[in-house]
Amino acid sequence: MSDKSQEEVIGRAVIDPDFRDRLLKDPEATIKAEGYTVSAEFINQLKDMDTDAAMAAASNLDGAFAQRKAAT
Amino acid sequence: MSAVSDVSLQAEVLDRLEVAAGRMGPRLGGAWTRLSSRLRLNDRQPGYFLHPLAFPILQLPTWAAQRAGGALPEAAALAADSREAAAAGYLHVRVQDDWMDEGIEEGAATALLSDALLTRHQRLLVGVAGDRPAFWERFEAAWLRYAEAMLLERALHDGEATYDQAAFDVVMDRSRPLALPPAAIWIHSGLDALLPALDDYVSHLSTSHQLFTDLIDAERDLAAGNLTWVIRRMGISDEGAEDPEASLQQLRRALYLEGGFDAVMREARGRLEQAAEASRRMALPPASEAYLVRRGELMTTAQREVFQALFAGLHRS
Repeated sequence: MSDKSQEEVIGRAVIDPDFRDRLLKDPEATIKAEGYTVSAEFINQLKDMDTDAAMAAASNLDGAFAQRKAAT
Repeated sequence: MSAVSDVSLQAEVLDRLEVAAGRMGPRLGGAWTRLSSRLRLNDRQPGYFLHPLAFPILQLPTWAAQRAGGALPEAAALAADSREAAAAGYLHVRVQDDWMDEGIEEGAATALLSDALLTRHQRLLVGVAGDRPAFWERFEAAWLRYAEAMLLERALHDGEATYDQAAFDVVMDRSRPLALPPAAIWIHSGLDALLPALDDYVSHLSTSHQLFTDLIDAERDLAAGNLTWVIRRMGISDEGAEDPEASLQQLRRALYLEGGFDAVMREARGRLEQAAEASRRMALPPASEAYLVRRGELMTTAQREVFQALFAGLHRS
């Protein structure tokens, strides 16, 4: 397994919506097509993502943007 | 318009509103004081009207006056009246919206304070637009569409109507009065040709804002049984929502694993770009575009924070 590749995949997935979309829909094909080298475990994790953390982050944003109702 | 002058313009508007409120009797004035306190209008740094995600309520009349240019000797006074009109019109809406959404204040105080604010809004616009029919036809149409939008939103919230794209578009009409103060300046100045772009600007900006906030609020809205257009786009129906845990899991899957969050965000960003295009058509000052760019940056930051959290679990493996 290449940690560097794994970190690169994660970093790109965070900032690149098109890559993220392809990665979540078909992790193996996307990683192969893009030339990354990652472990089978990493692929399996991508196939079984836990969405709780993302929803928690969205809830935190709710707090961060609590004033967005201000003047809208 | 720099951030410093934004703050000073806001202070000027709030001072003027306080003077206007001083003419209210003790009971109506009490309702105003409660509103002002609840919204923390006097916390002036950065202030209620200057949150980065707030609409440019005070800025739009200022940009419109700048666009009208130095040919108008009374431009500064028109801009000041328009800014206060914009704030009073906005607060008229806020009072009604908070009452309908959250039951804040009792009905009589809501109706009468809201009326007083709309009266102030209208009186100030008379001073800007005079008796020009082009403005007052627009004024009446904007407030009628606002009312229809608010009633439809109420019906949607109460389950008496179903959200779809057409309903969402009608609900967005509630922001139309935002265009009235700058429109008054331009009609006064003979710049009527800019009005279609102004309508586009307000429409695209309010739609972008609503999509973004409904995205951030999705879980809370679902828990409250408020099936917004964003939630329905994730495949959740009234019947499905009867199983809260299953619908929550479906919402999360659709948003984060199946591209729903990114799709809505892409649309919200597209609307923001269309607002920028309308801003360019109006040849508004650069501050207008800077404001839209800043909004886009905040949306990108929010999007990245969400997906940083989603992928953070992989880091820990």
